[in-house]
This record gives sequence, structure tokens and C-alpha cells, in this order.
Amino acid sequence: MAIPHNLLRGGVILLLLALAVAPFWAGNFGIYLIMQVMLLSLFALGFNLLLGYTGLLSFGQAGFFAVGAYVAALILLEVPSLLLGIVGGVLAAGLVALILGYLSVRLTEIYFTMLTLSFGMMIFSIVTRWRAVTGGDDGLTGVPRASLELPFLSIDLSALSSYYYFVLVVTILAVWLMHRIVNSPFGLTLQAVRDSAVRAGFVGLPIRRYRLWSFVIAGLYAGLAGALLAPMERTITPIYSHWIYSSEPVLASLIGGIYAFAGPIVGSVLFIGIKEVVVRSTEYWMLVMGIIVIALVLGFRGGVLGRFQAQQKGD
Amino acid sequence: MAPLLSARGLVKTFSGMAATDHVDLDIPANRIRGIIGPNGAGKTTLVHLLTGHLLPDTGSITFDGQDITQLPSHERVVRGLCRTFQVVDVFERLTVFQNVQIACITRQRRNLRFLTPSAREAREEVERALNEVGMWEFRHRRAEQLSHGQQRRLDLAVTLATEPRLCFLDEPTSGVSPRERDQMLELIRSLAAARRTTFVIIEHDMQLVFQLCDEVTVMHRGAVLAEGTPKEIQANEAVREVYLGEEV
Repeated sequence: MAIPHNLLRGGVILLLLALAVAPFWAGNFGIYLIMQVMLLSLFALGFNLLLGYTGLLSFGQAGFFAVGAYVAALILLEVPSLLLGIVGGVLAAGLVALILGYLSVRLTEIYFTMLTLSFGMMIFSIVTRWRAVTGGDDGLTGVPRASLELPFLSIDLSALSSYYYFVLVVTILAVWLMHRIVNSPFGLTLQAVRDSAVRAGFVGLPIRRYRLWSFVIAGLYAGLAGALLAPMERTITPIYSHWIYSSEPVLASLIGGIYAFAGPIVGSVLFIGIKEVVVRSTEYWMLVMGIIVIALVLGFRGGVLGRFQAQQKGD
Repeated sequence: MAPLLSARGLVKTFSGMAATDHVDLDIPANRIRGIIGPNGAGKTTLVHLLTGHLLPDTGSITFDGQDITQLPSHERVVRGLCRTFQVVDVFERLTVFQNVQIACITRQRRNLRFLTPSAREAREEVERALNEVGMWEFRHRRAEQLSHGQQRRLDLAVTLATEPRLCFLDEPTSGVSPRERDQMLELIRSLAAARRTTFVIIEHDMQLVFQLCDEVTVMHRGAVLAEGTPKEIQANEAVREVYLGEEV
């Protein structure tokens, strides 16, 4: 049972409408949660370009998220320009991903995963130790929600609901862009590399180069999520660079389905939603969360959206 | 005329064992060449070396007059040297159409288009390649949903879509039904006639090689034992000895 195209389009439009008026029905806490979902979605979409489309499992994505968050925060603490902060954070994360990716894509499978985990933890130790710049364990506080300066226009975003619209617009653009990327010749190339690296080599593809491209784009998306987080939370702490945080996009993607474009988004909604409900009811929320995640991953092989695709097979 | 591909003194050892032992080989253009030999004769290792899947310990390979000994496999493909594998290897989650499409896109160097939709890229070429192997009607299927024989055909279509001048087929009929084997034979014959592609067939099915090939190289224990037309090979004493007890 595939989802009909019209239904899908209608669903997306309804969702966008609901999101557009969210500050009127969801309240401050509601839009805070929605923003968390959007940021995790961006984070996970980038991650899944690596896993679902390129076949590489990275466990170091929090490192790039943190680079984005810290660089954006540092810029904003000096220069109150939102755009500068976000762009700076994204580019810094992309640069770090380019360097670490160059070293990581020489390996595949478990070795690649372990290497990304180590690089991620390296970033974590730099973040915790380099007190003069990062504030060490205390992190960076008082990050301003600076105005969005456009030519002839300055938009005040200091209220959370105003900042929400900024995040919403950036998220929609970034999701749209990712959708274009995975459906482009480049996206097809990544999937070929995923399915068989040897065969991809024998159609003439330098596979490492495409793995690196994928790694850098994943890093840019992680950086974007991090950079958007800094003005939202106004405080950045080293927890965002810890490998435990790297597991969030992994879980979101697995829950939603790594072979469906929207898998990481659906997974992010479920992940944040479940976490929110469970945290309220028990202090052992991680235990409960773990059980639910295991049940979802086992119950929906290929993720929640993979369910719909699997039944499409026999057409 | 200079051979399309020639190898001199190719040595590859695995933990002290020479899989190929000073192999010299010339492949002229536009003939179908067969490489046969008993299991472990070094046929597949030789193809790995010639196509860049492995690098030789010593020796040299020239293709179209240029030294390609150290060239990575993907660059050999760009120069027109391609292959299939003994174990069929297709892009499983991609559709039949996309499998061939990726080869076309790569040949046209359009892989770094990030924002244009890929759906209609290279459609005519894909259609032509899939028609050649009789797989166009299955274009919407995912490769993993095909039968083994169909995957073999797809594998061949992907390889041909790279527009190779020299194409190695490593046991193209292993694991397929007798009917599919005959179809594959006919297919290779017609492709060789229709295209400017030189085929090299690696087989241990001697009958197939004798039916199909213009020239045959026999390998034994990592070295070339004999070379000649199918008739010459069938009459060769040394070859008869290696295949002792078998009808050559």
C-alpha cells in the first residue's frame, strides 16, 4: 500500500499550514518542542544522507553539530547578526567535516563508524578543555537572539515565537534542498556507491570522492541544526558534542526508516514526542525510551515509513 | 596492428603462492577471446590485475598504447576497460532503469549535478542499452526483485553502458539455467558483432568457449599454457593433459 501522491501532497500542505499558525495554538512550550523536532530533523536528514543513501554509519555527527552551535554562539556574542552567526556556524562545521571526512572515508563499515566516533569524542574533549574559548563545562551563556538583518529590513527575533518563524523558514528550505539533492544525479550516485562500492568503481566512479561529498553535506546539515540551536537555547554546553547526542539522529532515522526520504523527519517527531511524554512520567525515562525504540525498530523493519514502502514492492 | 591490451610478466602472489606467474598476454581488438583453465589456474586473478581490481607485484599492462599498470579501476573504466564479476553484482535497491542510468550519467560526467532531477537523465541511452539485453520491460523493477538470469543481463547492460572498448566477462553463465545460458551466448555474439567492443570471456565451461570465441588462452597454475584458435587448442597435447579424462 503506497501512499497516493495526492494524499501525500495534501498532507504536506496541511502540515505546513499547521506549522505556520503554530504560535497561535501551541503556546511557547509547544513551539519550543516543534523547533526541537525541526532541528533534529535537519540533523537526522544530513545523517541519513550518509547512512540511508551512502551506506556509511557515522557516530560522530554531534561533533559537527557542536562546531555549528559553538561557532554560531561565538560569532553572535561578538557581532549581533543572526545571518552571520548561522552561516559562520554552518561553514565551520562543513570545513571540519571536510577535514575529518577526508581521513574517515578511507575506511568503511565498522572501521568508519569507530573512526567517526573517535573524531566526535576528540571534538568533545576540545570543547570541554578549551575553557578560554568554549567556556569548558559551563559552556557559553547569554547568546543573543540577534535581529535578522536583510537589505532594507531588520526583523526583530528576540521573542521565541518570532525566532520560531525563522527556524521554520530555514528548515523548509533545507528540507526542500535535501529533497532535490537525493533525487538528483548526485543522489543517485550516492545510492549506487551504497549498494555496491566495487560495482560503482567499475562504472567509473571514484567512490571515496562521493563518500566525502556526502560526509561534508551531512556535516553542513549537522552544523545548521547546531547553529540554529544556539540562539534558541541561548546557552550551549558540551553535552551537544557528546557521542550520546550523536545517537539521536541515528535513532530518529532508524525509527522513521532510513530508505525513505521523510524517514528521519517522521522519526524525529516520534523521538521527541516519546521522549517528552516519557520524561514527564518517570525519572527512568532512558530505560522506557530504550524499550520503545527497540519495539519500534523490531516491529517496523525498515522504519515506520519502510512499512509503506515494503508493501509497494509487489506492484 | 598493435594489440588493444597487452600484459608483460604479470606476477601476483598471495602469502607466497603465485596466483599469476609471469603472465604475458596480448588481446587484439575486435575478436572474442576466451580464457579457460581449471579451478585455481589464476584466470580471475589475471582479470583482477588487468582491470585494476588488484595491482600486480611486478609486470606491466598497456591499454591502447598507454601504461595503465598502476591506474585505479575507475580510471580504467573511463578509458574504455570494463568488466563483470563472477558473482553477479548489481545495484540492488535501485531500479533496473537506474542501474543502467548511473553508468550513463558517470560516462557523461554528470554525477555532480546536485539540484536537477535525475529521473529523465540519459533516458534514450538507457532505453537502448536495456533493449539490447532485452530488459526494457523490467525497467521499473528493483534489481533485487529480478531472477538470477535477469540480473546477469542487467549486469551486462550496466557494463556496456560504460561504452567499453574492451570488456571482460567473468563466467557470464555461471548459475543460470541451460536456456538462459544459450540466450546469453547468443547475446554476447550479437553484441560483439553490433558494437565496437572486444570481449574476453573467462570460463571453465570449455564447450561454451569453443562455441563462442575466435581465440582461446589456456591457463594452468598461474601461467599461460597454450594459446590459439579453438581447433588448435582442442588438438593441443599439453591442454589435453591438464584436462585429463575430459572431452576437449
